[in-house]
Amino acid sequence: MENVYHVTQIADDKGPVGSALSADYSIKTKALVTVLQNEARLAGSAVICGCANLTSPNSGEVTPTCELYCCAQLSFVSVHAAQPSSYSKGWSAGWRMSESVCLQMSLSEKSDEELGNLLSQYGIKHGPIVGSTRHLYESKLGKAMEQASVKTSSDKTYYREEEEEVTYITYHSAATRKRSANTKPERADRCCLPRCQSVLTCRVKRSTEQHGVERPDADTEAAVQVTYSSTNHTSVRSGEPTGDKSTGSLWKMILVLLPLAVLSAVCYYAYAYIV
Amino acid sequence: MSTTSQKHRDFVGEPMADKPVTALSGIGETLGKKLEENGFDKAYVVLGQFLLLRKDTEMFTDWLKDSIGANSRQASSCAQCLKEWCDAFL
Repeated sequence: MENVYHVTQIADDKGPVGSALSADYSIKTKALVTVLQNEARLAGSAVICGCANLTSPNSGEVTPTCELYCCAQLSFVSVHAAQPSSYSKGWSAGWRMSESVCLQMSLSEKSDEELGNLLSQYGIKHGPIVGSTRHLYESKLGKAMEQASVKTSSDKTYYREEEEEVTYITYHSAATRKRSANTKPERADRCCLPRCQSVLTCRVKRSTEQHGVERPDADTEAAVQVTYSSTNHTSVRSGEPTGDKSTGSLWKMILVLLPLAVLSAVCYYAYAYIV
Repeated sequence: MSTTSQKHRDFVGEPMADKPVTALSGIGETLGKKLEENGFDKAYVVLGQFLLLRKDTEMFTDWLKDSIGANSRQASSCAQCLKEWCDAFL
């Protein structure tokens, strides 16, 4: 009786994924792995060469784990473990090719010159790419590429969050400014997170110009305030000092105006006295 | 910082000639065998690899860790040993 394999493939942003389902508990480890290998090859990803630690269903364990090793042993990919589902009688095992592995495998296909160019691009000082050094440079480049992609994505998220936060701050502070009839943008800057001041200050200034036209809704403002405080606790703290600083600046103005007034009064009387 | 071992001082003190890989600081019997399996049977061949990597100790350390599974201490010791040898004789 032949074993029937149900093979599915899903593509997601983490890399090619495949799974193979065996119809029978008696399926041998090797056979299941062969299916996975074939599927990996068909998916266009790197060839997977081996499998280890696939636990036997006879032991009663329902979650097998399998580590598939890459041909060049650059890294290994952990395989999904899945319980036998109701519609299948046997084990299911899936594979997921990690991005780094995909990257590295694609790098191994590049010529020495191309690899050298990529290394220079990522700022990795390198020597001649020969047999003994190639593997090292490939792994270095793979790591650099991964880090670069992680950095840009995390930066984007961070920046997006910052943008959101800044917009909200500006809304809130624009409303307060309208109430206090004070158009100093510096106050908004003080609300901002100290570590990203340089980025935020620019954004704040840009968005304050817009707010002259728009009217922030009270509801959104309140909601925004809530979200902002939930995302960043320092906002709660910064609320108080900004309040103090607004009255403080008022006092400063008074302190500046008072002596001026006194001085002008003195001058007037002196002039009157002379006359 | 004079925390170098006798092995290090012995290696760096004279031209390596035909010394085996185990003469390198940080490379013992186990790592020495692994290097020989990879085709690096003499110290000068390992020197060749060090020079190919442009005498970059960091890169060489990574290579040692990657190819023969040396730990950080062993790899950096070997790299330092070769670097000093190069400074003295190359």
